[in-house]
Amino acid sequence: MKKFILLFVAVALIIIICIQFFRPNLKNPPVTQDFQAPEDVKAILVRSCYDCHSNQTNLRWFDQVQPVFWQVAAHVRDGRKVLNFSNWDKLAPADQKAKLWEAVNQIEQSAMPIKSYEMVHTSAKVSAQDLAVLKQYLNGMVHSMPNDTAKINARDQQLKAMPEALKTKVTESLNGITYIPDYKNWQVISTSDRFDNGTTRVIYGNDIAVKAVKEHHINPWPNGTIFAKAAWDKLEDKDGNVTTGAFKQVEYMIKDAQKYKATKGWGFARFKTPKLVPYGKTAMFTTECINCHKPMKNNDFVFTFPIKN
Amino acid sequence: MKRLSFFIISGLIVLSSCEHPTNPDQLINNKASLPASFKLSDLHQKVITSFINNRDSTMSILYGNKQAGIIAGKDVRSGVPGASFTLVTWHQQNDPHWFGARIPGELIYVETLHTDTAEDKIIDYQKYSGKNLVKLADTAGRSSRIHFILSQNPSIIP
Repeated sequence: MKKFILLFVAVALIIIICIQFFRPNLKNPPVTQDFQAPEDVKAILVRSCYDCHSNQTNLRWFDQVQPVFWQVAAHVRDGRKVLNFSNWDKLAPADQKAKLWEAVNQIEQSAMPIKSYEMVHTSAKVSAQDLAVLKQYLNGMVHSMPNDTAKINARDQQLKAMPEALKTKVTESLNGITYIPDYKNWQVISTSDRFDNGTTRVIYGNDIAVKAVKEHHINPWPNGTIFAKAAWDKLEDKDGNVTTGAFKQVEYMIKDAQKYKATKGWGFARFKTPKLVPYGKTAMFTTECINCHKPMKNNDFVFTFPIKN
Repeated sequence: MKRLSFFIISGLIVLSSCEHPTNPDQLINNKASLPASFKLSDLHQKVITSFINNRDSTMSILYGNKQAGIIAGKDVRSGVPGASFTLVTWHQQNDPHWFGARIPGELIYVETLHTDTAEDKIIDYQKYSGKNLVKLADTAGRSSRIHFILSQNPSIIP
């Protein structure tokens, strides 16, 4: 028996030594433009995010032991794809802002840093104090702009073009989901004042969704549930009255546990502007959707707290 | 060695910790919900627009039937008879699921407005208050509220 264990350990050891020679090719590509922020903010992000979300990955010796190194390399590659602070210039200003708010939300909902990473890299942990610093930094980006002429013009342009826009043929998203015009007849599940990006939203639910809310059968939501979330610019006057401006987009979440298994049972689609231009460059755009919704995994990936009415 | 054992223990903790779905009762926005007896969803009115008041920290949704959709924003009390509006107003609260959003909190009031079918004039304005939507007998400020509701422009909803 003892001999057998010894043999087993020896073989395992040999395998482990051998796989050390098969190493993932993980490099630090050039930094095109590093993210800039006040020192305290930057320090937190560098400490907690940069190992996977920049081209300044700092690999410790224990990250580079196989087979762990393969997983580490995969995390870094995926992390850089989603958010890369070293290619900050590759993002439009509005997208830069959106990424920061999403990042801080991922931290607040304890989805980031990834738990297994945080346990080994204890210095990456974001404390309550750190989170407060990050939130204060983001709050500093919110400015109310009463009577914003650019936004008023955008709305007026859309109003003028409306009759033409209404002739839009049925548009289809790259993952095969078509625009569903009937959402306008659905009931409201909630509304949201997004001060992070200056939009206001109404979340509609189809009959299946409304029934599920009334019966509290919403975790998981039943197959056939559809949400439509419509978003507009916020137009504020000098008295603090905010009305809806230009129509930004309508987004759908369609529940079908089988059909949309790859995206946790939800089909995602987004149609922008009154011309209903499908969002996404390839059908893989849904990865972006589900990544953002992941912190809601205990809530069937839904952010909205539905209202009964 | 210390780090290695820490690594193994951490790994075991990660593997053993299982997460539970949230109780649906905690996901329903009860504070903002309307009493079932009000039957708003049974009216099948459509959203005309939504708005926010930053000074009062309130948010509202204006619903209406087809006729209401035609006269919305025009502040006319005649021309299209049989219009029916419902305006729901909530206090805002921070969204626990998204730092950067505010969502409906406590329900403040629901106002309803119906135009006359025959005489083409306002015949009915009602205000219901609080969580249980108690009908208010005193409708002070009635005419300014009617003006307010009728002057809300419809949102662009393609």
